[in-house]
Amino acid sequence: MALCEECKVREATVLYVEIVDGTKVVKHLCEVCAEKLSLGLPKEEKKKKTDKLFNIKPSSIKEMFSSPVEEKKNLQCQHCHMTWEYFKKTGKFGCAYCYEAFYENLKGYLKRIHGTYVYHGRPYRRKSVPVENIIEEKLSLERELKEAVESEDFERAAKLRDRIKELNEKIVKQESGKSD
Amino acid sequence: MKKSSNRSLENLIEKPPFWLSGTGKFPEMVLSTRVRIARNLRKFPFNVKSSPAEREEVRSIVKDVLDNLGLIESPVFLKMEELSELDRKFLIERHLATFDLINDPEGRGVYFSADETVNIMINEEDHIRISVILPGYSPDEAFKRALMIEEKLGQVLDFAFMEPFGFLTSCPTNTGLGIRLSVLMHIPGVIINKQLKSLAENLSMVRATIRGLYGEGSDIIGNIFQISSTLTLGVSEEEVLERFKEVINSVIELEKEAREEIFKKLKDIIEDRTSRALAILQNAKLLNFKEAAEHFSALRLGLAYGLILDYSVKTLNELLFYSQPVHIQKLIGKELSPTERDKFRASYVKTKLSSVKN
Repeated sequence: MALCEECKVREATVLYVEIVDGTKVVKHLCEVCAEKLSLGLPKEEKKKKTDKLFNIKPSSIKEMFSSPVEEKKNLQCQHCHMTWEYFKKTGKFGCAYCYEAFYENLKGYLKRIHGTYVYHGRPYRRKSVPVENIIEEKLSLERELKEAVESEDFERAAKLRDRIKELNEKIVKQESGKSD
Repeated sequence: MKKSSNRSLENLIEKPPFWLSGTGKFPEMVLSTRVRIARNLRKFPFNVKSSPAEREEVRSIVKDVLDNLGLIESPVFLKMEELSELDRKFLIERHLATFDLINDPEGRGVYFSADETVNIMINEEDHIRISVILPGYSPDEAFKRALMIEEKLGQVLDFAFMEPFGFLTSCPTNTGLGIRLSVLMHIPGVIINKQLKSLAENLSMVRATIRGLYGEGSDIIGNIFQISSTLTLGVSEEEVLERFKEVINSVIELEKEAREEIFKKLKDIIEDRTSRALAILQNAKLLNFKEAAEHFSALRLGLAYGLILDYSVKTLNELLFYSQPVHIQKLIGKELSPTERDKFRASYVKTKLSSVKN
């Protein structure tokens, strides 16, 4: 367990990045110290200063840190074997499925970074069979084709070529169908 | 296999990217605007866990889709492992690669338009990083173009996405929209007025961040900074754009006010600095990049004050970019020691200043 660089008592759970005279300083802090440091000045005073510079209403600025939440221990992603502890240390997910594995802890974690964990962008829906499935098949056929040519099995090569051509047409069709 | 210099890179050095053209809004102050979108393919491990073979597969899938969609004009595609170390560093200076893309180059690549307006890094921190870079302050246009490419790719590729988090990225700071807007800004007024620290503090309060010319962890060079949005959750795409514009408009105002104040107080000093900068650039025999960049900054500021009339923003942009260490070596066509670079840089700058007026 890494200790907070400020108080040296509590566990460091926040990666705190600060720019001092143009130089980036990274500190591993506990939430209490991170909150103190991030505010620096008493809350109201700082916000007023920002409002003056940026002309943005304080109400539109979300709080950076929420109160500490209970975290589940021993979470691990079954796909890439990333553990929650290791993720917190590196700050990088191992794969898309980590998000499911760490789901409960992530809400609080993302909230501390972003003030919320909820996506508000446009909905994402892929329209059909992912083209990478077709491309994957195509790539494997291309490998086979290369082997066939090398071993001078021209009959097989011709068949493979036809199949690759079909797949190419499928890819083009799928993509042009979507350029509406 | 010896890695010879790549042909498409030789073409690049001859023509500056479109985003250096000094057009768009406030081109002297805002060099360029970039919109970057991070996406991953659901089925593949993210790049902290990926093997070279997995990265190669992702790369060929993405390249194939890009080729087939034909969204990018006269595309150039480069595989990182096929380039020399110098060429990879050249791409960084060119903003067509990052340290994450060139360290451990196996299975990584970049796909970009010939004018370098659009680039798609494959297997940087995320599988896909779409960037649109335009000259001057052009957030709306860059935003529109980047989202258009993202949408087309998302229709055929299976992006990692999950409610309630949104698009899943390697780093939780990008989770959600995965969009980052940024500008390269020349803010000597803020620096002279000693307002950088308070600007950085204020930016972090409105979910933006300020970094050096080359992004995360880089040095201050020529008073040029990258200011970017960090908002990705709790807001829509359009809100991110609007908030970013509010922030940058405020920084533009801040810089303008600082410049006015400085000119009132320090007119003689500013005039002297501008003339000295020009004199040094025209006469130096050895110029290191950092020093050159400082003088270019003084010229830019002189241009803004109307003290310099002979040179355009475009010329000053090109001087700065072609003075970078790897650009100088590519211009000469061979690897040089630091002292040799300083010598060639001085001669390049001198020649360019005497041959180009405006």
